[in-house]
Amino acid sequence: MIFADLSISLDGFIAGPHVGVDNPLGDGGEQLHDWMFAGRSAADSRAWEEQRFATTGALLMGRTMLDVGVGPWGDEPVFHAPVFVVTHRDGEPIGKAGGTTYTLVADGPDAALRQALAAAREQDICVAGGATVVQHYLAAGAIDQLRLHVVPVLLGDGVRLFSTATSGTDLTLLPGVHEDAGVVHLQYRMRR
Amino acid sequence: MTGRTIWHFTMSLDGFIADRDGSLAWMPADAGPAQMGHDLVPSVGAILVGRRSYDVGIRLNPPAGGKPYGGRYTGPVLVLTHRRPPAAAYPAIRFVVGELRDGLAQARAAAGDGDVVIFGASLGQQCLRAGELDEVLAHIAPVLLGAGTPAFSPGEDAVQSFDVLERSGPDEMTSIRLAPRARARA
Repeated sequence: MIFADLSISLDGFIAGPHVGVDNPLGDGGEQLHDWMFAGRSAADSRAWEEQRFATTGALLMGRTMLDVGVGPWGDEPVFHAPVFVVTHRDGEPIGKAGGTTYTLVADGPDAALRQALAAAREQDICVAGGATVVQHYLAAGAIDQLRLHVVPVLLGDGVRLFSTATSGTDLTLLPGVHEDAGVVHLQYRMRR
Repeated sequence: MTGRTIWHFTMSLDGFIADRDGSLAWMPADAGPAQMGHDLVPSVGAILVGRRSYDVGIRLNPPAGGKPYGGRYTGPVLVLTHRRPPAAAYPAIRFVVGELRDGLAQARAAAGDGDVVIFGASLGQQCLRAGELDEVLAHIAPVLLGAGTPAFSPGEDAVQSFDVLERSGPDEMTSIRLAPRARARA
């Protein structure tokens, strides 16, 4: 099962403006991840994040997300799975401890998806971001589930998750979602 | 005791309250009034709607067929406009020619102890930025439209945080009731 999992503002941004290595979620964007750490110690937060990826056999992400995330994710990232990075620039794989390797795929998102499928085998694949990558897989009908964590803020500017490329997609809201600490979790099955 | 001022809308998951033709036809047919919207109606004392919403609503849903809340609401409807009202005004609809504060004052007077509900993106955004909203009631339809009338307009002055008061689902229409937090004044 291939799922996209993202935190998003009420006005549709997955990051604020001016994303950079020193500003991974953009201006004001750190609010989008506060819910993950609310009321948890650092150790508990890490354990919680690892649990999120427990059944994930591979991840897909874009180059910008890797560039701003590779530092914060550290020497032993919580993914514990191969990460396939869609990029125009080739390069050597970046190996980390605990089973995470960042593999750069320069021949397009479909090639990256094929590699992720081969690596994940029976486990799930997580499309982690950014917006361009998610839009491509949504438009291609490759995503089975869209998991959005809607944070009750308006950012006014930033990286929009959806675009005109993602229209006409029918979704079914799945049960079992819940709200905690002021974030609204929405989980959709994509109808093909 | 006066009621709340509530901006009530349904938006697509990608944040549009109408498609590029202004139509509402994309809303799930069986969505009806989601439970939180249904529960709201008895407390509504007046509806204040923006001119564009009114024009689109009348064009797409002639009064015989389209009434606020499917006909369950029979109270005053006020349309805020800067322009001269149309000649053939429908008897139940009152035009307020003026600024936002005029529209709100008249709607609140008409509502008495009841709530004032705001319809329309432009009017809702203005009320939100002016600090005039007590609540936002948003229904999120499981549809991606790609383009249309955005519920929320961009810009630095759009920055706003909310408290989640209530949330329902999983119906097809997730409903979220929000209270705007105080905006930092420059």
